[in-house]
Amino acid sequence: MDLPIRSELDKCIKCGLCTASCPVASRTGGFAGPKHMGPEMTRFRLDDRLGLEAQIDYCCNCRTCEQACPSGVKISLLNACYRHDLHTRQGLKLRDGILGRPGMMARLGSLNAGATNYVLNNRLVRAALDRGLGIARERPLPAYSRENLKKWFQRRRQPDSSPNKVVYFPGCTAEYNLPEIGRSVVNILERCSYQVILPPPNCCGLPLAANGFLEDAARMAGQNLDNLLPFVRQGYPVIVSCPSCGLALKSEYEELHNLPQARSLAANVYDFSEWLLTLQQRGAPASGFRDLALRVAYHTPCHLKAQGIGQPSLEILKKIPSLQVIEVDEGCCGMSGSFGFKKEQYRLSLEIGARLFNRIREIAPDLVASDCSSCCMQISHATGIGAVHPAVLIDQAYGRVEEKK
Amino acid sequence: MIMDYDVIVIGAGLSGLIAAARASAGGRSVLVLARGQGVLALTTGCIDILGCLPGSEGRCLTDVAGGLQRLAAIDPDHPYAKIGLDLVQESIEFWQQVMPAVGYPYCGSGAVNYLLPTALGTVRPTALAPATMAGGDIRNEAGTLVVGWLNLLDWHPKLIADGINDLRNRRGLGGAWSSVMLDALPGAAPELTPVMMARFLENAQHLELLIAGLRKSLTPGTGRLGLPAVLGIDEGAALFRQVETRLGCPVFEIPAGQPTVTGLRLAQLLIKFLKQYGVGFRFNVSVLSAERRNGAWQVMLDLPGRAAVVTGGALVLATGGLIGRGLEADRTQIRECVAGLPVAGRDLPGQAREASGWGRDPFAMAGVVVDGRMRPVATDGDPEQYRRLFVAGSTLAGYDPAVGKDGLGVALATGYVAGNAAATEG
Repeated sequence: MDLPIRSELDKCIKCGLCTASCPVASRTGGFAGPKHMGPEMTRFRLDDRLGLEAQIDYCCNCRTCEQACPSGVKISLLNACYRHDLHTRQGLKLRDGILGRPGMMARLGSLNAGATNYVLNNRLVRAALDRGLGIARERPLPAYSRENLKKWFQRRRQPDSSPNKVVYFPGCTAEYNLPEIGRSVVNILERCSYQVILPPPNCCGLPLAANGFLEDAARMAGQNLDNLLPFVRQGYPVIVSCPSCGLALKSEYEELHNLPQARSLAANVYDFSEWLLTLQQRGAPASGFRDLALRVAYHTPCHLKAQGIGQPSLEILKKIPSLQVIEVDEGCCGMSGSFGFKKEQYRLSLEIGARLFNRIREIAPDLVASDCSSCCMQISHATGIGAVHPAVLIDQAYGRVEEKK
Repeated sequence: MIMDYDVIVIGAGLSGLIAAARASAGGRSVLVLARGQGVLALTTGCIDILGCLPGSEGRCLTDVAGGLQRLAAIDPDHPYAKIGLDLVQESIEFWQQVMPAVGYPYCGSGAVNYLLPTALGTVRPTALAPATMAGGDIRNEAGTLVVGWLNLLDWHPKLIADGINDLRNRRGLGGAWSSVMLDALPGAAPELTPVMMARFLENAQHLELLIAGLRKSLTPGTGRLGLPAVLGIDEGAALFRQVETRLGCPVFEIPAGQPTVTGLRLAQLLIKFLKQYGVGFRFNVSVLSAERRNGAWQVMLDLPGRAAVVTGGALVLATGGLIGRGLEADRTQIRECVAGLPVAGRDLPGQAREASGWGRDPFAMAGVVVDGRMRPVATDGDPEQYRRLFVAGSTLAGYDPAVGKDGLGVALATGYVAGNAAATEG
């Protein structure tokens, strides 16, 4: 369409006088009228002269806009659908397919974790991934653990069976990359007299949805519903330690994938700290905390904010004696899961988090705590300060020393 | 019964935030629940105490103290009249204590109005103005230059200068306003909203470019510079001070666009300050209902997939009016959404709406009727059901901020009184 005609669209102020005067529209409801069929529908039919279509990849799926909206518009869902639609039309990228499947990559990578980590740290390999696939070479890739959570769980002596059972959905990171998070969560839950059930490892599907692979994400969601619902029917709560998994299980399965029974799962899913704080408020062993002489900066992940549950980890950390915890409160870290891995978005992702990193450097803590491993990865990369999941600190405060292998 | 918090505040607009600040200052544990960011960011952030008396045909008021006394005499249903003018004054003093600590100081005693320029070249009477805006009073006779940039949207310096000159001529004031349109800011997007420009200027190098450009536009006759409110968001008034010091010339901001940089600043900095002060916040959560049970307020939250309860000793409803959706109207009735409180003027939607240019809108006047301590006046049922419940801000009946120009002033005063009562009354 020629630009002068396009400018016609911007002249329309949506007053509706044209439709009010239209002889056809005033006689039949079968014609929506000139305003609707003209400037409004034309806007939808425009070819993409402004280059806005491809900008959809810059929505990092953090959900901050939805938290700001006073009217509850599900903006991220609209964007997820649009991204899917666009990428289906234009062809999905191999790189995005890889980043969207952290679980599958981890299963492959964990076959020989040492070798995989070695190869992925090789500069030539990183240069090839950068040029060939578009994965930023400056971005450290998460290492795979030699022993994943499931193996550890099966190896150790099982505690006595308890009538109180919980299901723990660790997600990919706590399963394959940082199983110490999963071990801490299991330890703490057992300390609170729960028997922990681990379902078969599976990705929650959120990274797929965020990269435009909606059908694959929905399939993943269906598998998780099959895995988890039998436990839910027996009345067992489902605990997640990753805020993005939590958001997927609590809201995406229903709102984005529209899956039957997603709601009955959602009603029984709790973030780990949300669950622990409730237990503590009901009198669970909060008193068992011992001193932890550390200065910790706490960062709230966007996907935890999106759950509307406040900051339960922060509240728990504040109860640990000798632990000085300072909330950073400078917004998104910029990583947003796979967003910060992408070559064209790597610099931007660091710029988004710049205020947060500066504030953390000012605080100069011993450690940063954040519930999201993706945030932790970004913060450590940008500031050089170690970042851990709060469960690891809480576990230490409960007196546990990480076992030696 | 074990309560999660001493005081629960629903709503993170100005009245809710002030109620939380006051209750927290009174030593109570406070939780603020909010659905969205709150519409405070859509205001200019100016605290308009009273800009216009009812029946004055829109005439701008400068003597606020006198105006309040007159208002209390002629309109006993106005929230100020109910609270009493001493408490209105106390709330202003509270504000002036808090805001320097927030890092976003305000000017004004509350007794008189500034007459500040708007982005449309009209005048806005306001009693408490951010320090970045207070220097723009149109009665100041210094030669004033209003600056714009070609890539800044919705900002027309000539419109402002012409409009203000017209007003000043009618008042017989000296010192003309002039305007200049500078080239697009280098390095910035070809089209900038004020919020985008503010984010752009938070980068020190970009701010240097802005200062260099402004310095060139200064002439010996320039007594002060009027800028759009774009001097950063997160840093409060810091960039403003930097620009003013570096130029060696008084500067003032004029709020422009939507959302407004000055409103965003106020909302974000106030929330951040209250968090550091120990107030708990839960954003992105809708409240389904609130009920008094077993001597406590049980607030039902709508979490994904399930409802959850949070309990508090006292409850402050600062949920907003019809726009903020604390009140909801259908074709027959207006109702209060959280606690099901009685609404005065609730049967309006069925009636014909009176239309008068300066008249107060019955939809704005409708709301919850309270006593002088912000307690709902129970018209039916057991008064025990509303015990330790306080209402603040635009959920209240009896005022129309579009006419009285008293929106954020009422939010401040009623939020202060509600927070005070929630912290102290048994």
